[in-house]
Amino acid sequence: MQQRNIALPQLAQRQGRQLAPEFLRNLLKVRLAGVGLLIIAVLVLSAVLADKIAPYTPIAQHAQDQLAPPSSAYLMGTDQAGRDMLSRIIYGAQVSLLVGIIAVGIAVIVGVPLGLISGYYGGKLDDVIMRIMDAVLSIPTIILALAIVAALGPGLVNVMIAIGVTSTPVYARLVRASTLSVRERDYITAAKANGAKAFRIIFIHTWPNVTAPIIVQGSLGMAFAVLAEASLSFLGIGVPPPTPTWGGMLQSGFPYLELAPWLAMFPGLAIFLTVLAFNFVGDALRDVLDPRLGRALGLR
Amino acid sequence: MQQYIIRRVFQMIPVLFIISVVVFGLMHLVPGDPVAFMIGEDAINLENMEEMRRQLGLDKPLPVQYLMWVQRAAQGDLGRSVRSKLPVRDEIARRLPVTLQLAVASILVSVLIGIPVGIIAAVHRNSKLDVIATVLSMSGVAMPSFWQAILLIFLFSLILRWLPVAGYVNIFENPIGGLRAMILPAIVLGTHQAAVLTRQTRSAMLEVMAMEYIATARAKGLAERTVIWMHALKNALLPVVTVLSLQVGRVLGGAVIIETIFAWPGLGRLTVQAIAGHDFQVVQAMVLFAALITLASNLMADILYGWLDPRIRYS
Repeated sequence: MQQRNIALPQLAQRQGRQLAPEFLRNLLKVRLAGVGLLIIAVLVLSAVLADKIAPYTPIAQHAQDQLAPPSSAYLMGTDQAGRDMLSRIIYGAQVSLLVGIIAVGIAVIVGVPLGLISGYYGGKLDDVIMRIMDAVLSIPTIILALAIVAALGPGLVNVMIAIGVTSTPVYARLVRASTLSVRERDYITAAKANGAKAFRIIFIHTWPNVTAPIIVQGSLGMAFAVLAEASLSFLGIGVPPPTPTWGGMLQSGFPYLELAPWLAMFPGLAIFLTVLAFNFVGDALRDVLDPRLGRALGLR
Repeated sequence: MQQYIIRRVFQMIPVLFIISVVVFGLMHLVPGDPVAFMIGEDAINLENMEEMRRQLGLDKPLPVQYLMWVQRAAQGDLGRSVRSKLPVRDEIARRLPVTLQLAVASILVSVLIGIPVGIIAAVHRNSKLDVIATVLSMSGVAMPSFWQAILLIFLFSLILRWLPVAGYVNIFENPIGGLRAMILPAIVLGTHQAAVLTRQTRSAMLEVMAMEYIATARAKGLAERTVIWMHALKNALLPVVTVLSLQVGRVLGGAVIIETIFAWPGLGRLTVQAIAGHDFQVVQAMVLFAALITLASNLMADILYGWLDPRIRYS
């Protein structure tokens, strides 16, 4: 999992105030961004309209059609219990997106204030916060997430918490780095001279100027969270059945690989395309929000 | 240099302390009575449980328990596995060679693919080759390792029948069987890391290629091949070596999934089985062990960096 890479601090400087349509136009100019946005749009629509567009309910068992290959009745075939794979994949999008959004949300809500405080105050407080983040980062993500789910017990909410906690240090570090550079700006000095309190300086003056890297990381973080949830569910330690999850579908389909390869093909493809899409969009956002950085990293 | 290493080791102490608190705290969040898990359902009676609780020190306050645990862990005593009844230390020692073999093989695969592809992409920047390399490495990063494993098993084991579906063979006892069993796991774990390495090598090469000494080397009439392989690569490899050292921790995480799919009796599978079986002493030890390995490899990266680049002075 590559999501532990951290963008550089200077990101915030080129944020600018672009208008929404113009921003979208710039974003779409980046290679592959359109593909990513298209895939995400399809995903969101599937998740929201699942009960309208899914041909069957995801848990309906068609006893006479177990392990049926893809056909006009079941476009992606059926599993060992005779459940329609297409419907399960459509409903699986709900879990993947929900886990991704909540996990990234947790990481942002916890990590961003920590980074702001750490970067703004410096000194002992900074040391303590950053050493805690180092400690969390030093445990391999999947192992930490597994241990958290083991401690809290399996379930949708605990999976979200586990992935959120493991993602937190990335945001804290990112925001701290941006805050360090913003802190020295003239407008912060001016705010201080005006007698602004620390809270106001941090949340009114600093926070808006460190959002660009958070948006970029948020998109990459969605990719990571979707992959992490699928990994946990694949190991049988994530969201428990009968909730349809892509990782869980892969796990239960794996033993039938020779007999019914479609069981492993479609859920894997769904995970792959989703992760790819969020990575594409994250990279494109980085290019648009900070063209200098994209070039420095040789991404273009 | 020596002083720097000593200082870095000392800096690790607060991080280690926090890790130990996190690990200890996490396992005490576990709902249910650990003693009940240990004794097993059939033998539960209150007297036994009280006795066992005293033996394990579970009747003492949490901070005391923590100190006892740290003291024992520092001496290498990580408790006993509930499942196998063996000391956790022995369980880890027994499975370490399996994971080590997977780690070495996969890092080899990632270097053999990642570095050459990264160089080619950088040298032919913005060409078709570069685009293909970029798309491949992005796909490699996005590809769930378990799905890649399943696809490769489907193709090479089930359709072509060239390689075994799963299973571990000791490579020292049976070199050919061991190698055959290792190919797919090493490729899956290795290509994933190779994707990261490709991007890193490419950007490091691009950065170096823009340097003046590269222009000088070209200006004095050196062959392009010499410029790339002798002048550029040497300097571009610096950040790559760092990424490579950092991979050690990632490989351990990846082993969790790979060993589960390919049924390798290594540390990753031990972790998953321990979690599924509520064997919390083992889980605790594995998280601690993984963190230690990661910290050690980070330290190694820093030291290597200074050793490879004399310009870096540790003061």
